[in-house]
Amino acid sequence: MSDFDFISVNTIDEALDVLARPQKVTVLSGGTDVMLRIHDGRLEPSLLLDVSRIEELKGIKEKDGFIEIGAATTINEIGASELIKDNAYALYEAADVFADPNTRNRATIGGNITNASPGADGAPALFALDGEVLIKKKGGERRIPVTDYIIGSYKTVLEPDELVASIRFKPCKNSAFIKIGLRKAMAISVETVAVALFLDENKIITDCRVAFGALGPSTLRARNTEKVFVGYTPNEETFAKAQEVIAMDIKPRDGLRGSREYRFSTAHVIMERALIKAYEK
Amino acid sequence: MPIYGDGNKTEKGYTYINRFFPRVDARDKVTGRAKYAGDLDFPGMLIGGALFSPYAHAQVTYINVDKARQIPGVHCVMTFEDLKKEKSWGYYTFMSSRLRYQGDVSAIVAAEDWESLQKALKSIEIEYKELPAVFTPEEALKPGAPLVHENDPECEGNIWSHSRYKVRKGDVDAAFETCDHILERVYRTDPVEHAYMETEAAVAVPDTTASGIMTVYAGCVNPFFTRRWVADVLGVSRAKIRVVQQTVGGSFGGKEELMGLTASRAALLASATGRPVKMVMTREESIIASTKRHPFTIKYKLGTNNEGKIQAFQAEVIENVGAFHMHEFMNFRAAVHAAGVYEIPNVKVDVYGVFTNTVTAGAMRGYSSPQLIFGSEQLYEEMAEELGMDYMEFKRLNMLKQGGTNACGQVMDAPIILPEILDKLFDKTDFENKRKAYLNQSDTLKRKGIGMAMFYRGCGLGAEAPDASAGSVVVHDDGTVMINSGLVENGQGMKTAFTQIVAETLSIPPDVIHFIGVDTNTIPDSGITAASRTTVMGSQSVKLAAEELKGYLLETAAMMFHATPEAVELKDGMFKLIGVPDAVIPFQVVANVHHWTGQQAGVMRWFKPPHLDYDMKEGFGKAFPTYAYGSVIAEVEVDMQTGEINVEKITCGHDLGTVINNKTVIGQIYGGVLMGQGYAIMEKLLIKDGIIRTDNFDTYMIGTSMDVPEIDAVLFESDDAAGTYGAKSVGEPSTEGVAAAIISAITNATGIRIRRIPINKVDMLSILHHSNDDTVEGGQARLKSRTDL
Repeated sequence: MSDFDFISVNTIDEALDVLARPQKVTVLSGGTDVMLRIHDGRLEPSLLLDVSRIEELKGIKEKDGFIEIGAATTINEIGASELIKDNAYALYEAADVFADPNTRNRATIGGNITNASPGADGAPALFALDGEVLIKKKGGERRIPVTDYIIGSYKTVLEPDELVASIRFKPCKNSAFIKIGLRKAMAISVETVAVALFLDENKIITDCRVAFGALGPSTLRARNTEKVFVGYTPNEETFAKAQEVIAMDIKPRDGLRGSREYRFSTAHVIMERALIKAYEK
Repeated sequence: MPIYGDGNKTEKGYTYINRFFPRVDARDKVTGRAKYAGDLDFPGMLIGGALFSPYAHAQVTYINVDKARQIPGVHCVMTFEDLKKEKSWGYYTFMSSRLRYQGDVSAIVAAEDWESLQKALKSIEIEYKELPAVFTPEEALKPGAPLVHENDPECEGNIWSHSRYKVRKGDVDAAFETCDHILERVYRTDPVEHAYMETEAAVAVPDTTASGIMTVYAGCVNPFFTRRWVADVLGVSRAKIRVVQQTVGGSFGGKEELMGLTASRAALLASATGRPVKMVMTREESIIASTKRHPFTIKYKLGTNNEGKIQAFQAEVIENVGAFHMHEFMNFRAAVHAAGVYEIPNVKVDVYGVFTNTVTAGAMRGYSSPQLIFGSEQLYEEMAEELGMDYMEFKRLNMLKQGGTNACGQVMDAPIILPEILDKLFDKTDFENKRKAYLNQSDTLKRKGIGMAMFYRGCGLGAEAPDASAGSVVVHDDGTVMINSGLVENGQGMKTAFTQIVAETLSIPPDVIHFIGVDTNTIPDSGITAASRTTVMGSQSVKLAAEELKGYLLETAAMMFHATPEAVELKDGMFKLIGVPDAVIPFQVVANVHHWTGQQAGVMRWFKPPHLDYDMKEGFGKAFPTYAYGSVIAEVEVDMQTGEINVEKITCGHDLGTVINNKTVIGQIYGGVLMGQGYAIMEKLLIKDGIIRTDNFDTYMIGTSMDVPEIDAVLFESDDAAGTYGAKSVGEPSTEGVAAAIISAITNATGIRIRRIPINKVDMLSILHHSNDDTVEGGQARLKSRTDL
């Protein structure tokens, strides 16, 4: 481990001032990924900026018809929120199976999407919920869909002087998340799926979003597959059709945790199960 | 047979054993006060580290440590060039220019702190030439294969000659001629990691006075072996090395080789710098360089007659021992146990190890039994299926019975309570009904399965080595008692068990007894704390010492009563004049008089069990003083679409002889079950070209608390005089049959035979998908029925 400086700030403005410096700054939120990357030598920071004490970055609230989560809100806070449980069940379930209780007490939702690990458990739920990321920098801000925010394995569009402030999404009453891990806790995902459905009064699907995690270099939306269900219900026919088009959306890879073959053959299985779970909620 | 806890607790009539007593080390451990070697700090202490090989097999062609020595804070850099000899007494190399596996080391460094140590290790200029390597016995045994050890008189090619052990009974070749059914199968197991919580850690403290004794504080499990490693590397006598055992954070059979090497490397650096040196392996270093459970390839040939009686059993057991090895004696145990707990007239077993350029194999909980029970129990199920017989009918027909002979011809004269264990467990789990019902689940996506394994285990070291040990008991003038043993607390609960045993022998409350723990200067070398020998055999010497000391104390009490020693008894901490109700003197009063009148206040005794008449060369005879019997029932659910295997319940029964401490036994069993589950369905050590890819617990999957199945442990007791107070082994029996039972249950659920472990859900789905495919690799999947998903 090399020497580095450490700055802890209490406000977003202070953080943005530090980020505006010419020096390379690594933002530390919960630290559950940053510390590992330092440990195994993938990251050699020169300045760590601790944002975990910024109260403005914490909390879950309803605002302008959206659910808004501060970027430094921990996974356990999300898992304990009735607002999330009622309006974003997929995210609630993801929080429930995320690593272990100790990690969930530290890890934050902003850190989860910004680290952009292919196996991030928070990201697929936010992809399915059509989350939007609020990004701030000194003298400005922008809001972009989370699906545009993560662009690859450990890659986002975040500029060096920017900070993720919050994530928001529209409430969804029918969503679900399923994870396959190699043990029942503290498991990095072999694959995950999140489904968000909107139904009309006849329980016909009007909007369907399916996101997969850990299948490829980054979290992805299965845009061809999800279209199959719009105007229908989850049933044998739509499942069969989905299975035909799913190959257009997913290109699983071989890895330490699972083979390409395994990931491909189980992706539609957990998607079907998540669709049924979300539909029947 | 009595079951412990079924209202028969006092049946054996003991006061301080055969019951719960809180662990004597529990308070320190749960409050974080226990001192592990890594917690120690000495004035002027340096931090040591090692440069491990980046290759599975390589020759160092250039090394220059000048730059590393210039790093501020660095006190010492040593390489293989600085050693008098590279090879240790235990075959491994302390440091070497020839790196035979990833765990080999070419240089070591001592520095003021971790950061300068890491900088120094990175600054060593070193060039390697990669050498052709072999990773599996198949590759290593091919003609012309690269040799792991050239010109080594202990090798025939890559086969380690010393590791050849066999068992011979009857004439298998003649018997196969007359068999009605013959089945040949190959079973395989892969290596798994002990995953102890504490990694290898040692602090070597030099002494600059004329006596020059190097003291090593280490989390070692065999302090006398650690002393051997350190004396060897420094080239000094045993008397110049003192090893003090610190609290051990888990062993499970491991922490011998890498512990000895870590202590040796720390001692080298301490000797060179004249300062204390602490060396603690990182988790990654521990996983790449420590031993693993031996990977086995087992080639079986089994013959029966039409009635299903086994006539002949033949097994060739080939072990991938990795680059170095010091466990040839395991193969004696493997040879004796290969056929399982069955009566077979003709047996031929050959066991041998093959060197490869991969991670080394060493002792791990079960010491060959988890592999062999997995293989043979499935083999017997396969044979029953071949015969069209129910496998339990087949197993019961061939089961070893009292008065019969086991595979090596030992007459089983002690009670065999296996039928009682099976009846009880089957009743508790509704085994037979479930097993039959689960055969018809073709439409379900999640299928239930129930399976079993039964087994026995020779207690202690048996004919492998003298099962001898030292024990001492000392009484102080205030009535407190101090005990010591040449065997050690590895986390298994031995300090508590020994305390209870001495309390029972003296008949004094356990809370006045103190166990000091091993310092090699205080007690003779008593061999390894392993083989589930400690309570069964190792405590005999402490019991003998307590009995002798009690005699002296009775003489003092008799003097005080003006009576003869025969007229006095010691009961529950009180000396009593027999038949005189009010004539009572407390233990501490007698102890005080005992001291001030100059009576013998301490006894050290040696125990060696009776000689066993076993012919190692012919593989025949009495192999163990006694055996412990057991069975495990596993209940699982398999998700046919994702391959997920959920172990819902484990019900197990073990023959404990006499339970010393019921909760310690339960603790051993729960831990054993979780390790056994890992061995069946989780713990995949991924090695690519000799390099371990799963070198920490994010990728190497040991079970978490969330993965623990429901466990129902039934403790059976029996009458058997061989062990201390009739106790039998449980540390290893608790884990050895678990994987076999889980795999049996998976077969019951899916109809598919699994011939290689560990598997995980990814493998399980692959096996389900390819079970109708004739080309499945390695005989992994069996081509049968009910796999249409």
